Amino acid sequence: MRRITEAALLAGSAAVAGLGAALVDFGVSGQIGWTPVVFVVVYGCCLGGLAWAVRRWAPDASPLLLPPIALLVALGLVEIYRIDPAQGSLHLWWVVGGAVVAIGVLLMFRWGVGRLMAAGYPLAISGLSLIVVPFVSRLWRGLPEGEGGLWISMGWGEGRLLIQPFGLGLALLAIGLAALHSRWALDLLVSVRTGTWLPWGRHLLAMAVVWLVTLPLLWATGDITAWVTVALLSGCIAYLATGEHRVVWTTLGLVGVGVLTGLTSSRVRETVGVWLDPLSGDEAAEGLGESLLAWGSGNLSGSGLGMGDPDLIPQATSDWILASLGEELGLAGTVAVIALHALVVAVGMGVALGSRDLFHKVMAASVSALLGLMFLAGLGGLERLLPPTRMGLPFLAYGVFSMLTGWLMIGLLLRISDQERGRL
Amino acid sequence: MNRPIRRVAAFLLAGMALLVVGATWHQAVVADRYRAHPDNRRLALFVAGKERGLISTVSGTVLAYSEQDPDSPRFYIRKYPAGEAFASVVGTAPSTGGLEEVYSEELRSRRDLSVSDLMAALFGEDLRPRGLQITLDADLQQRAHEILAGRRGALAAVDPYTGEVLALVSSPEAASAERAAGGRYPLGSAFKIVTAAAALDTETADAQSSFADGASWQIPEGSFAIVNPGNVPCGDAPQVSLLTSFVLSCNVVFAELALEMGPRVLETYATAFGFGAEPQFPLYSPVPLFGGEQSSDSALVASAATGRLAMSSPLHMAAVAAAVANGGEMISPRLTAVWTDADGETLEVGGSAPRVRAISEETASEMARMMERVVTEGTGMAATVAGHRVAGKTGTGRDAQGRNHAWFVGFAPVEDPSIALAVMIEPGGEFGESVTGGTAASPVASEVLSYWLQRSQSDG
Repeated sequence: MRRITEAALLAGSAAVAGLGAALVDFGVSGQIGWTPVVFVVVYGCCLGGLAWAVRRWAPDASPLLLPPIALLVALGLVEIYRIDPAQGSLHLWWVVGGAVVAIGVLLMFRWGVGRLMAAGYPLAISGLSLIVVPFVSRLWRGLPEGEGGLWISMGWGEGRLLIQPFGLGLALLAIGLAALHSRWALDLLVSVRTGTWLPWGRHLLAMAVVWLVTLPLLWATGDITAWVTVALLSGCIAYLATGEHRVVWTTLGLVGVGVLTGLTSSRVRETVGVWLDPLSGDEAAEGLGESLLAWGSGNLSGSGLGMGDPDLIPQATSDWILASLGEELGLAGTVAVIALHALVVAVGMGVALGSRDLFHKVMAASVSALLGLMFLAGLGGLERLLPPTRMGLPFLAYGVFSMLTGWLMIGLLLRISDQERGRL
Repeated sequence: MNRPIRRVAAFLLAGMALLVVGATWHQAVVADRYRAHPDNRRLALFVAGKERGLISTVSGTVLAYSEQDPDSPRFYIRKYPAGEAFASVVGTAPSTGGLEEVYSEELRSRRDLSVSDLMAALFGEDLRPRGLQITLDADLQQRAHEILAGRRGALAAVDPYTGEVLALVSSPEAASAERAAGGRYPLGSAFKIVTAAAALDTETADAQSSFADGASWQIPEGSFAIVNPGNVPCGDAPQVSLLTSFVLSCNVVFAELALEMGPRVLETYATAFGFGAEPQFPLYSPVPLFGGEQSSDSALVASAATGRLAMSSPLHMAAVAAAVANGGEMISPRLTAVWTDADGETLEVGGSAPRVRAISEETASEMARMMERVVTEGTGMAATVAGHRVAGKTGTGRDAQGRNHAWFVGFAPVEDPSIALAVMIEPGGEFGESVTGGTAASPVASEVLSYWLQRSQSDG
């Protein structure tokens, strides 16, 4: 019965994608083309495949996870299509790719996620490597034109591709750290092999390593919020595994020292300048400034899909997708997007609370925390609660990595949720 | 082991709640500040891209219409098919002068897909743009534009009875450069129409009254002298009539006349002829004669009587000529004739303001005779149109920089006036720096009147 409700909600999301594309077509050109049909069919197949895979390999998984995600992805898809039809049509295939990844996760770990526990180091190291790629790229080539923050341009002859593997790095790091920290925590429970003089030594050491390795990223990209997200994530996972208050204080201390150190970088100071005065008209402030103007113009109910001018925002489909959505769907749309994220985080945390296995607990909570932190960072940056960030949001922002990251995490949450017999 | 999970979850959900507060702040509380921010290009895009109503002449010549943008049907493109001749009157949407700017709100579609808009539509309100029909005579406007081409100046023509504006030309013609109604130029002797009418109307003098002639006249109690053009006497005899002084535009007699009439009279008549009147017309607001200065100063009054102080626009002077032509009643020029809805149904007919008597009918017909003599034998002979009776007055006003502004103010035909016009030509172009009413403005008036009169004749 729950699965039927879930399927109906998923069908609703596919309909939203189609209807949204139709509204965009109508708003922009007054005529409705074939794209809405393609959206409904292709996205419907993705969601259908996911629902089928969940029934087949994770029948007891919580039915509350897929519907909000499906709706978020539909909103992002429609808005990207609205801003740039070519990008939107391409993004549809990244959505397909994401769904395939989620199905792949369900298939691969159909006997359980336990074997991830042994892969903590490789996962965490590959995650860290992806995170510091922008820094390495800066060291190697300086700052190529058209590239900023966490973006890296890949060039093949004439064609250039901007990619941001940062989110995927975060996800891999979170999974790896969850495995490592829960293993260390279990070690402490079963033996006192590590000695008593510093029982939390390995946890603190892991945090310090992440801090040290990622600090140059802050210096090179100036993206304070993205760096703080990494540092908070690593502390958060250690706290989830240990419950130790000292971990919290250490994390806050490390974040504070890191930001102060970062202020020696001119890029960090530039970001702070933009944060304090986004409407100065400076080129650097253009993204946040235009986003705020778009957001304010959206007001309560928004301009309507296809009726606003989000194309005035630079990188409207990726960095500032929330502002684009907010302009056309208004405060109502923004609040809906916040509520959907809150729901996913709450359900994910519920899965963690209901788990009996420590590794499952830490893993589910870490993945949910990462989703929550990334969204807080993205929207907090737009709202000027935090310095602006160009970190791509999973599910909403344009791009292959945004989709991979999000669906990988959802696949894992579904898997754990099923394994713990769908306690929520 | 659930406590840390609960705490992290609580932290994240509290963060989400804070996000809702922040979003409300930006999208509701201070949203207007962002929307109206000067860097926000949305408003300009929105206004420029809105559908606007049709502007046409009453007889159906289309001056401006909106067409859906083929690239982005949300937006409309404004087209001006009638060309350059109408640029300054019509302007360019949304804000560069002319009717497009003056009636920006009225002409614009009020459809904006907002909630209030939907409500209004539900209650049957018509949110489509309104259409505007104006009184201009498209052919006359076009012809006058061609005649003025290559010269610097402006021209206005009105129907002497209804005040309907028939032509309003600024040269060089450009949107945001409307000068025929909105400009202010020194009138010079063209103002003598007002002084002479005041003298006749108050019976201070008639056309044959004699005054002491001379090349110049020292104002009693004044610190300076009034000097005739060319510093020569008006006639050969020691006495000269008002008619002759008017026809030859001598200053001395008009200065004597003004002091004879007394201090306030000239100002009263200037006001009656619309100097300093409230603008009845969006592009048009005449300036007062004395501009707040003390009008009882005899030197000032004597000087004003010759036209040295007066500034006005061609449209206002056409209205002054119309008052002489129609038997003494001041008209209010009007350009907007009919407002229609988007289907072309009449919503509102621009009512003509009542005419206000400025001078008696006898004064008016005497003035008409004197003005006809200006064209037949005086300074305005270049304004003659063969086979038709034309009346007028020339003027050469000097601005603060000493640049001349040449005027011809008149009407035709004298026996049954159908047009009153004023032509103002600035220095430059084919006339060089020394333009005068007789040499620069009168020939232009002749060409325009001859087109109008011949057309009226062939129309029967």
